[in-house]
Amino acid sequence: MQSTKELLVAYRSMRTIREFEERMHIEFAKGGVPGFVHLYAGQEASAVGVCANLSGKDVLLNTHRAHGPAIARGADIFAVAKEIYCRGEGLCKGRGGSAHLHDVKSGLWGANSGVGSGVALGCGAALAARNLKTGGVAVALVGDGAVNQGVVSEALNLASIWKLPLVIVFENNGYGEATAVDYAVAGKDLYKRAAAFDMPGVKVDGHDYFAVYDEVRLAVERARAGHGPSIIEAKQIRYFGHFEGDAQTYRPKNEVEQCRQGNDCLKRFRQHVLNENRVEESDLNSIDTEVADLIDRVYKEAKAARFPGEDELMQSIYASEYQG
Amino acid sequence: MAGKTYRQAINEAILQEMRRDSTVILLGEDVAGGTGAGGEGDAWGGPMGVTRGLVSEFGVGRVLDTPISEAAYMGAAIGAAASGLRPIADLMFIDFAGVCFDQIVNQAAKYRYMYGGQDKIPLTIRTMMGAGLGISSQHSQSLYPIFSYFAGLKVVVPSGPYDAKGLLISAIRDDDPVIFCEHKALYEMVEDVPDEPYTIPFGEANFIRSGGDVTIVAMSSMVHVATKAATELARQGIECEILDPRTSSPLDTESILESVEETGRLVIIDESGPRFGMASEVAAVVAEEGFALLKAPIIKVTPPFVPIPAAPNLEQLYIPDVAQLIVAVNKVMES
Amino acid sequence: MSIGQLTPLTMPKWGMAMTSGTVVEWLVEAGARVTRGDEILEIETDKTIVAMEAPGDGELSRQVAQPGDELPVGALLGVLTEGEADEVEIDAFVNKFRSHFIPQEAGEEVDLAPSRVEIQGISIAYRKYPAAENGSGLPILFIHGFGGDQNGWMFNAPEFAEQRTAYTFDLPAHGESSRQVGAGTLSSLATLVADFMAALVIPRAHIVGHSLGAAIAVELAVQNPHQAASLVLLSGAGAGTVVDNKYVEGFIAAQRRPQLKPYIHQLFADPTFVTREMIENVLKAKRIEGTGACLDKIAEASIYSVEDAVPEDKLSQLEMPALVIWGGQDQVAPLGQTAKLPANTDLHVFEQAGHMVHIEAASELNAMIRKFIENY
Repeated sequence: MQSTKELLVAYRSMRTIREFEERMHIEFAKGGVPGFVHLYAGQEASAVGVCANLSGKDVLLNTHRAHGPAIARGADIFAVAKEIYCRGEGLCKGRGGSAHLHDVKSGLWGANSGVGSGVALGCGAALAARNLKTGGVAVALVGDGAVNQGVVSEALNLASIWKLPLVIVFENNGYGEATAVDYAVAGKDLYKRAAAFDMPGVKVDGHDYFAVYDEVRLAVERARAGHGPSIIEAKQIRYFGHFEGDAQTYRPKNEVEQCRQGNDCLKRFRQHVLNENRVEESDLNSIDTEVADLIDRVYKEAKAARFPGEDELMQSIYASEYQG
Repeated sequence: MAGKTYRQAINEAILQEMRRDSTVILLGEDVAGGTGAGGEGDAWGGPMGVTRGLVSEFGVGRVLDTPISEAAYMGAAIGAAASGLRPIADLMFIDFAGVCFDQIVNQAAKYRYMYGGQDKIPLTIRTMMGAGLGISSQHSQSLYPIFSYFAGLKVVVPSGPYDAKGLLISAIRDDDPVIFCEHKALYEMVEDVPDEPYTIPFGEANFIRSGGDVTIVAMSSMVHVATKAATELARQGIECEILDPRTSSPLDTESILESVEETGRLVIIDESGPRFGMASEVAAVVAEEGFALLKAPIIKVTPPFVPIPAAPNLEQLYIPDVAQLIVAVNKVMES
Repeated sequence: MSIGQLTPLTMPKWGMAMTSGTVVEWLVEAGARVTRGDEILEIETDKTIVAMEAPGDGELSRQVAQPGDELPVGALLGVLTEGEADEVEIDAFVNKFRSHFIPQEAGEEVDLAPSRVEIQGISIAYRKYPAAENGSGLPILFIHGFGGDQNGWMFNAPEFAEQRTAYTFDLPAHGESSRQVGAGTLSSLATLVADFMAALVIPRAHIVGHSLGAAIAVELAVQNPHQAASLVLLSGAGAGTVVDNKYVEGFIAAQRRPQLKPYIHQLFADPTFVTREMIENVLKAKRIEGTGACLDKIAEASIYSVEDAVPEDKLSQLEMPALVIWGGQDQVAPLGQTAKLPANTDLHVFEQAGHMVHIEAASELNAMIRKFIENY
């Protein structure tokens, strides 16, 4: 069972993601954010429940819906915001933008526009961890849309036959872009694909931090012990469109509103920990205030930050000499 | 130093690097062969036997047979490279790049740049290319120019055993993704190859033959077509200079221009396609930077714009040959 | 029946890589009398023109090859007749030669690979050019210079086999010898050469050294005077010239053709001797793992620090005769500090040659050495 301190860390992380994304929704509409952004609001319990189980030697493979998992993994939120604004001091020096947040020192890989690739890359990270005896595991986040990519099936098979220390989390938010899971995925239950690859597969309520945390803990322990990969399907609902600007006409009316009212992961977390007397409400309230203040500062600093210098265009293409 | 085949030279390069550096691993379809089967292990070493013997020395932890899942194991190789290993991924035929193109060009090639220079990807992709075995369009293409398009990749196209060993060791030690393209018609070619490890730098053309009349740029197996043509042309009094760029990315344009400056005439023979290919690229470089040096229009000798047929007679028509090159050289000599 | 002796003149093989040569010009009219050693024909190989010498005395009775012909090694170039022979006999001789001649295919060369012997734990590559049947002279041993290899003697060593057995070898960390140098000092390299001679059962030989090889030759003669019948020192640091350290450092550091090219050019007075193949061959040796470190070690121990050596003194201690030969255009170890050569030492300068005097003035130099050592 997690300590009070750990629970407060988790809550702060979820609250930070929520505030960051709600603010991004407003700021993006004002203009000034290059490219497009995919917001994670509503899904916080998933990334935070996963990351609470990871240590520094582990690797999290992010998806294009990248902000939440990046914050959950502990990447510097100022550098995250600057990267989304494509500034020179962003996580990736402004080369990646919103969908490619990547921070090696935090154990954060991806994010990736090749949406299913994280499982294959994760196989490599897991193979290296095993060969180099680091004790690390890799956790790949995969959206429900990406589940249908061939590379995911190939990589699940590879992870299983090589018994790699890998955990695959299917973040099922109901839509692959604008297409429903119910239409696009045969069998509908993503986790059942685990059976085909001879690995454990479970489904959890992705809005329940504690359920996610517990299932991921078992899977990470299993991987670390050398027993191979597992699949966890975390059902969840995203509060915004596929990307900002998505009118979301394809969604049932009230889907988001009902979730916000009755199934919001932050509200449920609060209720849970208060009902069980595991934290003080005042501590949660303080976090809310501190986070709001932090997000103000983050956006202010990100918007004021410099763009990369023009001399940076041709830098870091190769790690070694390239003559000719 | 001893006479070694292209196959032996490649095997020796991998063997020596795996002995030197325990982070070097080899993965791909049947790189060992026979894994999990009831018979003998180390059964294949790839369909051409190039990596035979390695699993016996280094074990299945470092020589990994993969399922037929190019996208998965290529992605895994990239992930392993980003995590401190130095993988050699064997893509049996370059034609199969289609099923792992995303991994190579959107993951491997972009990984360092897009993520702001945080990582290095010391990955070597060994792959087999070229026509001549009667195995039709999906096993015979020379697709290396496609990879040369991408910033972030390096592309190596060795024409013989000596270059193969030195360039492969360079590739394995390189901190960037390298596509190492072996021509399947060259595996039996013998050449003196030092027993010791050695490295050949990328982006340095090899002058196969010196001559003052015409510059012939040729890579991979076309180097040998060019050599035969040059011998024949020398009997006619035409001295050809043959340049093998060795790597298409980086490309040693300096040496090509240096040679054209001396000869004023350029013929490019290449087994990749006639359009948007290696020959077109070299022609463009010289037209752009060396136009004033030219005494005659540049001629490209390439296969026709057609998929590769299996019928041996048609396939021979497809592959650029000595006669075509001689005609081309004679034509540039008219001006 | 004629009593004439017909000798085929065939395309010589200068260097292991040579598979063919192109006839440039006959230097002697058909029907003219020639004496052994006369230059009779110019042949171009690898962009270098070298004169072929008459293998014996006689009449140049037939010029079979014509200028411009590119012919494989061993192909018939002409016929030398000693005594009487008529045209019919010569025709028959030519036809018979041609019908029996099988040119060697490129890549099928018989003795491409050098022999090997292990000396002080170092695998040394060497070549032996056995003396012709009547060649009973003392053997001759060639020691190449820093950064070179035994192939640098391709225009020299084979030319002595008529009279005596010739040996060339690759110094440690050079050519195809293994990348180990021991201490790398002149004295240790000289000991290695002495051991090499012992291993090949060469009790005594004429020693020809070029540049660093000349310094090693002097050191060898000091250590083992009985092993050296005479010394021929070419462009030799051992004869008193201090080599430019910057040149050596730059040569070691150069890893690519454009970097190395200027250093190879400096070795020659006439830059047309420098071919891309020559540069590629030097690079090939330098690419082998460990070469740079070994060359650094030799340079540190045997080149940068030789200022203190007093080779004139060493030479004057020696009892065997010494011939010092220099290229007047040497840019690497320039002539100028050899004024005080001891009395037992002859100096000859080829004014038009550079550091690689044995390549640039091969024919004349071979003749001079042959004449010099014949006396001893």
